[in-house]
Amino acid sequence: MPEDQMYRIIGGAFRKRAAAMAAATGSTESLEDEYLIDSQEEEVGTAFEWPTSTGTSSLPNVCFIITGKPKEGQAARFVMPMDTLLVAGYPQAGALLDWSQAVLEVNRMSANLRCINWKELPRPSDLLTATLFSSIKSDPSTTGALTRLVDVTQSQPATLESHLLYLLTASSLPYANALASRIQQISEALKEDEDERLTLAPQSIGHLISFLESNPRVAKPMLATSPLGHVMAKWIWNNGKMSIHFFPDGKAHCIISTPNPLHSEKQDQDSSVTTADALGIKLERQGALRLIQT
Amino acid sequence: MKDEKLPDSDHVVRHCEKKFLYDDESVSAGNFQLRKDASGKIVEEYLSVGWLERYSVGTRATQLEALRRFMHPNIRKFHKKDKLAVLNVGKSIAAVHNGTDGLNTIRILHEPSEEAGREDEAHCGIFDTGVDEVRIAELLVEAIDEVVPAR
Repeated sequence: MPEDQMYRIIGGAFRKRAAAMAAATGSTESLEDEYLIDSQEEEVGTAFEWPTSTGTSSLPNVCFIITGKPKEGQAARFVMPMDTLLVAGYPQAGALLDWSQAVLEVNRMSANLRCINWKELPRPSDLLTATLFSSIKSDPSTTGALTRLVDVTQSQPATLESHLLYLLTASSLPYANALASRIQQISEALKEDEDERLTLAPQSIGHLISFLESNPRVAKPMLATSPLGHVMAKWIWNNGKMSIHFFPDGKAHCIISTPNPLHSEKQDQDSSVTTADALGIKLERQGALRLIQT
Repeated sequence: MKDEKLPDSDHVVRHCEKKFLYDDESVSAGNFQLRKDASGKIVEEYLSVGWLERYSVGTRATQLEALRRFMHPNIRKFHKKDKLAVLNVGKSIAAVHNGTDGLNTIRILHEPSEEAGREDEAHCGIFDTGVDEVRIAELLVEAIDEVVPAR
């Protein structure tokens, strides 16, 4: 791998090689920026430039393979200009759940790029998702680069794979890996049933992730799916429970069971329907959000 | 007799597939939702359940064991981590009625199966769960008396 095609990820910062970048992308944008991932000054991985031949019309033919294993509790975040793609340790679905395995696989691939069958990887559009960048939109240092990027990514439909990729590489949730693992587990369980072909609804997963990231103190939920592939989240505490059904259209149905204030042996059940993006605010106003916070 | 209402004091058992359980452990509303086709249209008329008292007399454990032996694997395949949820008929009907402010009333009716090779005299159905389905499914989960392994 020529030196000028390698990019080091230092302390979570993605330092670009300006000349190589310009040559690869033809971009006229300033390439001197350094995109901050976190503040630690430690090499956590390497990015390899990888010319592709996918020929998508709206996206350029350069992507990067990112290797490196984030430390415990540290989610690697990669912010790039809109004319790049991000591929992060994604050789196959099973390996997604094990960063070490994924990194090894990517390393192997990068040493032998010509043998790679691109079809084994997700489509480039899968890798660019609105959710991937939604959590970093608020970072003022990235606003310029992200504005157009988000425009592009929001036109790409999210997939289950892109949500898993996001959770494993970019999410700020402390339990992102466990959440991805459980989602993958549900997906596999649905596939196992030969009599009934069900799949998880990606939009439903997206609303769940958005809700959790918008309310970062919320504890990791238990997850299940409905027969339509809509994800359901549940929290149980000492004398109550809450279930939220996330529908693909953005609707969220929340059911809270708590003891009756006058008859503690009886459980009251409150049910309400709102939009997933308003759910946190609504639960906060009801005083119910604290029930599912750590 | 077909379409006969079950006595309030009796019990029905719902086979809860692993794929709909929370974290492979606890029963979810997904276990009490009707199957749909790809367009979201409901393709089941009712939730299938077994009339526990019809499988055997004796203790709850005896009845459940008789149900397992009868059902698996010919009538219905029970996978390793699947569960059986036992519900009291009267309590379930009341839970849905009260929990929806009297707006929804489910019916639990005897629906003996005569399908060749899968005849099941104790087969029953929980009807009228499709309206306000999420709420009713959650109420039925709350009404469960007992959950036991399917195998």
